[in-house]
Amino acid sequence: MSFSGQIAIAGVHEYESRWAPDKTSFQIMGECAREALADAGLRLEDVDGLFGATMTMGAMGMVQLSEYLNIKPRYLDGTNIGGSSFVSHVAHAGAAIHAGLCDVALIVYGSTAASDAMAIGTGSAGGRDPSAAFVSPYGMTLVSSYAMVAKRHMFEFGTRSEQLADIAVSTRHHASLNPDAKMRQPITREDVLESRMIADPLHLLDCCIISDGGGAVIVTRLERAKDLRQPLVVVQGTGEAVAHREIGAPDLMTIAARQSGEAAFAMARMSPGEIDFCTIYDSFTITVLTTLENLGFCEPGEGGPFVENGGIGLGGRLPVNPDGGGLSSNHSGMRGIFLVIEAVRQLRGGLGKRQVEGAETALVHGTGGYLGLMHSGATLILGKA
Amino acid sequence: MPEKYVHRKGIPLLVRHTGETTLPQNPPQSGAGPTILCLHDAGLQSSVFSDLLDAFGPPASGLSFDLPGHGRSGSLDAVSSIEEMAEVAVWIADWCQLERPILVGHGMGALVALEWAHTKPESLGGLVLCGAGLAMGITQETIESLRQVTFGKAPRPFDPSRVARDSGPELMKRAYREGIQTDPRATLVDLVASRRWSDGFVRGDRPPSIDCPTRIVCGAGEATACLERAEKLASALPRATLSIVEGAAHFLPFEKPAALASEIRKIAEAV
Repeated sequence: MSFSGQIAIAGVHEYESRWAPDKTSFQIMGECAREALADAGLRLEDVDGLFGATMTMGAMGMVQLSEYLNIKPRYLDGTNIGGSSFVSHVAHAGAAIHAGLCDVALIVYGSTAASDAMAIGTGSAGGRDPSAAFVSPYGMTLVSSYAMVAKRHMFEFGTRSEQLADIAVSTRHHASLNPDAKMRQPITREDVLESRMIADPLHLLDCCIISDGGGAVIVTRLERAKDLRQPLVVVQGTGEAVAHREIGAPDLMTIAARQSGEAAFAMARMSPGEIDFCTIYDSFTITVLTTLENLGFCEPGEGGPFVENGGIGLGGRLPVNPDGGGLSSNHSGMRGIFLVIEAVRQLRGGLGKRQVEGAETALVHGTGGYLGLMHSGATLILGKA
Repeated sequence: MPEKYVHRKGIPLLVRHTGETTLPQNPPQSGAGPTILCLHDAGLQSSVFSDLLDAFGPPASGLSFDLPGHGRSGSLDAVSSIEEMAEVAVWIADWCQLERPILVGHGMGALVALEWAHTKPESLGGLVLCGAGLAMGITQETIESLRQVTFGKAPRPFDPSRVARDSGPELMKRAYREGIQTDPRATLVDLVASRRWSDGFVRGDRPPSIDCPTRIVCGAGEATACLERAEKLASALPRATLSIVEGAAHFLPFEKPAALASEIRKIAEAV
């Protein structure tokens, strides 16, 4: 039985700083949890479900986190499928609450990726995973797995670097309206194209930044959320998927978003045309373009014309990542939680110049892992009650 | 070496210090001898002084700190003027309860030390300035090329000539590592601030009031123009003497920490 329309996101908080060398990831998570609970009008004692993941948390991480937060949850979920984990956690929390396994779920994330000098994008892909046996020896990096998708998209459909650059330009414009964003100086298409080549055809400004950061999300029953502090934001649909256990299987143009998006739209009984704005994992510009196609916002191969010339900017045909995204606002390794937080904030309204006008419905999509290799996808559809 | 964070205007500032670790909200303990406060160069951070602080050693004591936006201090934005950097340095000294420290300024840090000496001469014991000159020799071309780095259009530059020849690969690696720990946007702000201040210095805005024991220390391996600027600085300050250290260039604090510590002790004795 579906929980569509019965689960609400009652509290959110995004860690303001993008550079926190004096903090640990648990400190950031603790501060975010406290603020998200305050945002909802709940107390730490109310939390009976804990969901979390980080770049560094080990097998006992969720136990350590519970102890650090001084809570004794009756439901734990440490699912880690990369950057999409937190989008997935909202779905898992909804299912657990719907099943009566917990009532107030705290989803939390923290990272000091920047101050730990993590080289996220240029790290190797696949590691020693047996499934990557035919990849790892050739030294593929994370960014190159995305570049391979971009190259193929250009080959298949004639997509141009200028169109990818326009994604970075729109996102930077959004970041310029967000006082917490790490990179706020507006850029032009030429700035992107003239920036250093990282993995052909992706330039430096086609790539997400690296920051510190964290966030927390509170999920509960709709009926309980009605008594809390914030305007209601309801979970309408969810979906998850994995794809590409080997390079190019089944093909580089079909990503996990295809399956997770179809599931989420089916659960919500909605179609792409009913979505007012999106928050989409923008590890690289190509991630946004191919995700939009796979979610059905445009046909395969039409992503380039869809995004160019401000198509996904505020006031465009479909605003994407109005907070400035991972390309300009923050990217601390696993960005999924920020996608949820920004979607909720937009649906609540009152964000000034970066507010999406008339926002009633939002689609959130997280991608985890290596787009051209093995990756996960998680989709949420949110709406006002 | 112990480290601790102190908060100024909500920004955490990293302090490295000699002696024992102290509890949060408590200043480092001072030794029985003189105290030095080290001020780092543009685009660098306090870690360049770690060998120097070790070499200076007990009974003397010393500390260094990362300016906002540098190294492991907080804030995405660097302080935009030498005057404000000096205010930060004075605040650190007050918080750490330093009594008339000897300021050790490296490159831009030397300008910060001079600004402090100009505005609060009664609160310092002496100056040791290294890798510094009357003018800083920061050209518009240098600033524009760094601006290209901040836009992602050029890789961050590394100038191997800032380390003395025959220093060996380890020191060269150290110089490289020290140069990549601070956001290039902060380095750009540093260079603009340094040029603005040193232009004023050359115009005569500061030198007449700076009258404390001063040692200008320059690595023999610095570029000829740098050595000339150091000589001019020494002649412009009433109580300054110039010392050249062999086997070092711009990264003198970790190329020849013992030699620099020796120069500091001479100033300490004069004080």
